[in-house]
Amino acid sequence: MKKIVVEICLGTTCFVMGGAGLEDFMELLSEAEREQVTLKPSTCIGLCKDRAYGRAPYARVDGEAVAEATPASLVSKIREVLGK
Amino acid sequence: MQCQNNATRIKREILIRLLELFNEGKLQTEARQLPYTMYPKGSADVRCCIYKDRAVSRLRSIAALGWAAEEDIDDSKSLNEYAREALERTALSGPVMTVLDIACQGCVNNRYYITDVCQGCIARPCMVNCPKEAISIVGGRSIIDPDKCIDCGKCKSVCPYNAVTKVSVPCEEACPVGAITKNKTGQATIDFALCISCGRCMRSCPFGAVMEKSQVIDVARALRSEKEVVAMLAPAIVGQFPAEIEQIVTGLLRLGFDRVVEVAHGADTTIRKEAAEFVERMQQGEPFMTTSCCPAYVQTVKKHLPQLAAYVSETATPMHYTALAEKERSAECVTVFIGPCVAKRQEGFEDSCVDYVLTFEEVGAFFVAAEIEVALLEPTEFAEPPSREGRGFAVAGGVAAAVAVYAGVGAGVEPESINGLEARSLKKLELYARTQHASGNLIEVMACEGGCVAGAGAVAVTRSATKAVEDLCRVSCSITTKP
Repeated sequence: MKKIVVEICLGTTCFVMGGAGLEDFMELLSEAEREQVTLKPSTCIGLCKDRAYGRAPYARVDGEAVAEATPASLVSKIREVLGK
Repeated sequence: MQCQNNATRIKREILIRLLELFNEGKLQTEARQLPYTMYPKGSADVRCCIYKDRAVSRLRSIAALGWAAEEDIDDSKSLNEYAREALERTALSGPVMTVLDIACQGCVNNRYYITDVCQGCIARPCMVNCPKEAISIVGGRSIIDPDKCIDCGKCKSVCPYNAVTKVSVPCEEACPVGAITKNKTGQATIDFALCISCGRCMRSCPFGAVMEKSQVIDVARALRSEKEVVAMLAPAIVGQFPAEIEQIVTGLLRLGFDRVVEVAHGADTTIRKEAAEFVERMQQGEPFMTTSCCPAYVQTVKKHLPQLAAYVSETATPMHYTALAEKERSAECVTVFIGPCVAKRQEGFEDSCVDYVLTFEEVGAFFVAAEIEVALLEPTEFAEPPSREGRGFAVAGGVAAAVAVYAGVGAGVEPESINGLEARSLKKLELYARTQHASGNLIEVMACEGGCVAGAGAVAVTRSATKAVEDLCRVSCSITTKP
């Protein structure tokens, strides 16, 4: 089965605005869910360039952008994609 | 609560926006717009209404510009005016922490409260076990008489339904020395005669009502000046940004720093001097010695445990030795310490060799405002790397271990680590001073649990920051084998 790719933006803006703790989302997933997810740290994905810092940190789940990402919001996005 | 929450994000956003305005030369003409840019008409409220959000962000900006929110008596004073004064000042002075009164929620007092989960059971263990007969049954449910309650928590521990909850004031709970309390109007205030500048209230407040007076504008001005500006990087820097330490050096040079040095070099000096001091003190029959590099601990001794002062090492901190070496190299240079620590700013105010102190969070704001992608930068190598032990100062246990390694087996170092200042560890230290006896003979005290990597101004989460420091130490040379 094709795995869900979770890209966490490690651009300076996202990292400073809270991206530093995002990788913790993996711990919130069940073991079965974790097997279906690939974590891919990424250099700046460019979404902050409209200068809306308030919306960073960004991540992408299966290509779809998540603004103001938190470990919990990534988990719910992943579950949403898994449920499709 | 680590640094990842919305209160921290808002604070960082303000630092970034102010630095951007500075970079564009618009700080003293457009700073007053900042609350309106952040909360434009029609935006969703964070607090009760948009006007409060704007008023709080104005106060946050005042602190970020380096001023005490407590001194904002006239709230019609424009941020432009504050910015102009910041651009003209020659120096900042303490105290470091500041409470934003209107941001403070005025949390209800610390107390135990019985929720409606209470079943009004007939066993009534809460009532039976309460030592003050403070609990009665009203309308089939337990209630606590606050006048009789002594906050012992027995009712909470015995309730089979977990119906008892402790309502707490986070800043008061977090402060290890009782310096922050609520005033008559219910708002938090800091007694600066007691405050040790550890920054824990700032990190714990869910409303972000405590901030530090920032020196970002002062540093931004220095970077624009003709003077040589030196960045002094604390050992905890690795892992704070998504880049190698050598890339961070490049980033700092891009920001306009002329020279970047590792404070771990100063730590090497601290290790050598502190090891010699330890041996001397033990020869004189002293029972123990404590370390002196944590500024919040040093302030704790000064303000709360003066009886311990005689046992605190007189060796200066890595920051001091690093700054001293720079000033000796060039008396004209501007020294900027960059670290995870809020209390270091207080230490900096009192050390004539240290001009400014920035936290990692503030450096992060500099990078963002200048649009520097640290992960994509070319590395700049250090000419001469410091020792493994010096770099290890950033993690709890590292300082005592370093002194032990340098002093050698014959010195008989028995290290003990006080990892985090709180009521219990303060009591322990008080006992050590009173009985003139401790479990070890070299007591390392770190105000933050985990060491400097867990400081209030850190960006990265403590776990990954600790790992990054340990990884760097592993590939560094020991102080005993260095020439």
